Amino acid sequence: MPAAPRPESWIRVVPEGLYVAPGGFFVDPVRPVERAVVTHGHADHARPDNRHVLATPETLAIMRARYGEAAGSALQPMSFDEPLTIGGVTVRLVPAGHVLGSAQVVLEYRGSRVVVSGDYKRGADPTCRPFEPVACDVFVTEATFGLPVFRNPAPEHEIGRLLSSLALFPERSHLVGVYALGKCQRVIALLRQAGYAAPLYLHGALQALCDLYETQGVALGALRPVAGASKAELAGKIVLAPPSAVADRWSRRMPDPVIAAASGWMRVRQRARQRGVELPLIISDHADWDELTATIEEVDAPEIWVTHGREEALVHHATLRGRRARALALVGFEEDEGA
Amino acid sequence: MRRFAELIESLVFMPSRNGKIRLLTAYFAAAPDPDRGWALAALTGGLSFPTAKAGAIRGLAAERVDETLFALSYDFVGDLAETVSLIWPGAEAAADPPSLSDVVDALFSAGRSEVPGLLAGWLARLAASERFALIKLITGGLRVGVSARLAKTALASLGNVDVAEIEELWHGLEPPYSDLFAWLEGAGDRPAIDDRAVFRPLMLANPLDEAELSGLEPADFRAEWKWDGIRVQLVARDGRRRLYSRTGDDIGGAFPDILEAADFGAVLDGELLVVRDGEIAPFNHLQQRLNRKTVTARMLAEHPAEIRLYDILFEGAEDLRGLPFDQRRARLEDWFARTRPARAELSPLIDFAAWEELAALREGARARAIEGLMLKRGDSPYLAGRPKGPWFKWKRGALTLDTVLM
Ligand SMILES: [Zn+2]
Ligand SMILES: [Zn+2]
Repeated sequence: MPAAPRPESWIRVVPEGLYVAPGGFFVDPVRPVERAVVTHGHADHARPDNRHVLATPETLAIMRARYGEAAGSALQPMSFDEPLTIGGVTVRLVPAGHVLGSAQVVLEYRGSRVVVSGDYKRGADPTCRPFEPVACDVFVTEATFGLPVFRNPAPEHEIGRLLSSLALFPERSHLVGVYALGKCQRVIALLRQAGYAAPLYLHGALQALCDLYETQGVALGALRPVAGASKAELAGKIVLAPPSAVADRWSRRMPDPVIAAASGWMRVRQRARQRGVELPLIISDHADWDELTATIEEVDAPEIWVTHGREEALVHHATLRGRRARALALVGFEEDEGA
Repeated sequence: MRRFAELIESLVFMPSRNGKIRLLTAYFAAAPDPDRGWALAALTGGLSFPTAKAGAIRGLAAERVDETLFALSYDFVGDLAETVSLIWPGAEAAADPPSLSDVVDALFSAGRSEVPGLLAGWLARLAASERFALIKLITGGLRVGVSARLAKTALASLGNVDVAEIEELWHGLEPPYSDLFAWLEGAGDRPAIDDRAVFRPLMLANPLDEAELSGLEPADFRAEWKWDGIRVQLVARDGRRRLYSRTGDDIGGAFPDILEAADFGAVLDGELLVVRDGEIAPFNHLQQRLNRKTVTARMLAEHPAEIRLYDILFEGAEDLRGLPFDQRRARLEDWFARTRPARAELSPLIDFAAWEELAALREGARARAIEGLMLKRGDSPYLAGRPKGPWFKWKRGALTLDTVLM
């Protein structure tokens, strides 16, 4: 049996993104292409105007909700663990634990296996299937929180802080900045798990994806639009809004709001203060440093390609641990919308 | 440590003064003794650990974390305490964390060489935000936007008492303030402080808005010069003698001549000056004395200090602060005539019948030692803080400036 081909000989970075040459397709292309495999619905991974798109049914539903017709002219759903061979490359989707429908793309070509993990996390998330490690020759990992200072507390602890603040300031509404896809629904699910059953108030931009999660079987409890609610009604309530709305005059309709934000960036005080946040909640949909380094050990790939964030530290770490590691020069993945 | 860390964390991000007061009040109500008392001391600048240094912290981190990873992280975070607290290896929340008082007790009795070992042991048992609070606590960097006044306001709200009552007691109390908390929570009597030499909060004046002058009746007010020295409180009773600055700092060490002369029993309010042969020296001569920890005999001889007396707060054990200004002034003059204290003069009252007359006097006062005028209502009791209405300061030059502007 011939030796497996070197990974660089069949998968490489081109201006459109990560290109799998024998299959003629891209993973999470940053420019419109003929054939795309998409890991998940965040806008820096799932972009409009590709022709053929292969992704999980949930990711395709999210893309349709966001882009309508522009989601792609041929959308091909592919469930987890139902492999498909394209031009000699076997493609398999495996849960990534990042947001609803998020997948790692497992690629095998002539005995060589590359896992493009997309965005992922290892902590429990009631709104999506957990990450499954797959042993491989090359592990392509994100590094959004690729510094050893990013080590997150349990999300339940952070939700507890939100609820204590609500008890301490019962006349103020608590305005939590959340990204529309993933973080919003996870925060809602965590609140429900913590026993908070009161209605949650939503900025209009969050409604559609919450509805989509519900139709995909993720129960979120009573949700009400902020529009139309009086100031008095919003006192002592939790309001969810996209970070951009929290910062602008829209938030003035809230009675003396406690400005909160749920994000992995909240780990660093200076970042939180820059955003004018009074109650930073460290809730991340990305792997923290411990999860990144543990995952690299677990998949045990001799070669690590790092992208999407602070590559330098993770490359340094993997090298210290005896792995070949390099930063993948992919553009267009700064400051992920789902952080 | 957990509650203290949560408090620090919330204070860091709380923008409003009222919010901070509520956070502090809630903390004081919930935290046990003596933890809350040590927290209070830390927040009001009354706690320092000279054996613990930031360099030791950096050294501990360097033993545990790869140098490159630490440098990249520090570069991103920008604060040493925060970087170390976040990067410290180990479980997020280990069992059996030390309490704030465990930490304080151990640090008070530890020698310099023992500190790093103690710190490493604690850091391993704390979660990240607790590590941050610990490092900030021991390196004295608790900048969370809480002034001593704000902390006292929270105490007042805890006990539902006036903040002036806290101020009154404050300088007679010691950390961890268990007696204070007991009293505030109705579980004990008002602390019986040894008040023979404590600082009593000063009464301060508001700047005069000259437009107000027409609404004020000259006969209600007394006028005196505002000398260009530093406002002090001289406390002497039962052999205890203290000289305090306006904010309650003990500055007696730099003025042994003043303390030596205070062989009486009284609490006096006045202006500290350097006076040579009856002439008030420029302010910087006083500053030269202020800046010394100890003073030489030559300094004492060349820059002799004196107090111009404005007011009397106590005569012996008798509290005169509730009396109107006019009665206190009479008591001050009477006391002064009987006592004839060295290194003190009465600051004279200025006769006037109309505001114009006073304005002219003020304009004519060219002596460099005069900063302006003080106006005090004859019926004003001596109140802590800066109440609106009874006292005004009318600084020299302000009127001229206004005239030019109009
Ligand atoms: Zn993402
Ligand atoms: Zn991403």
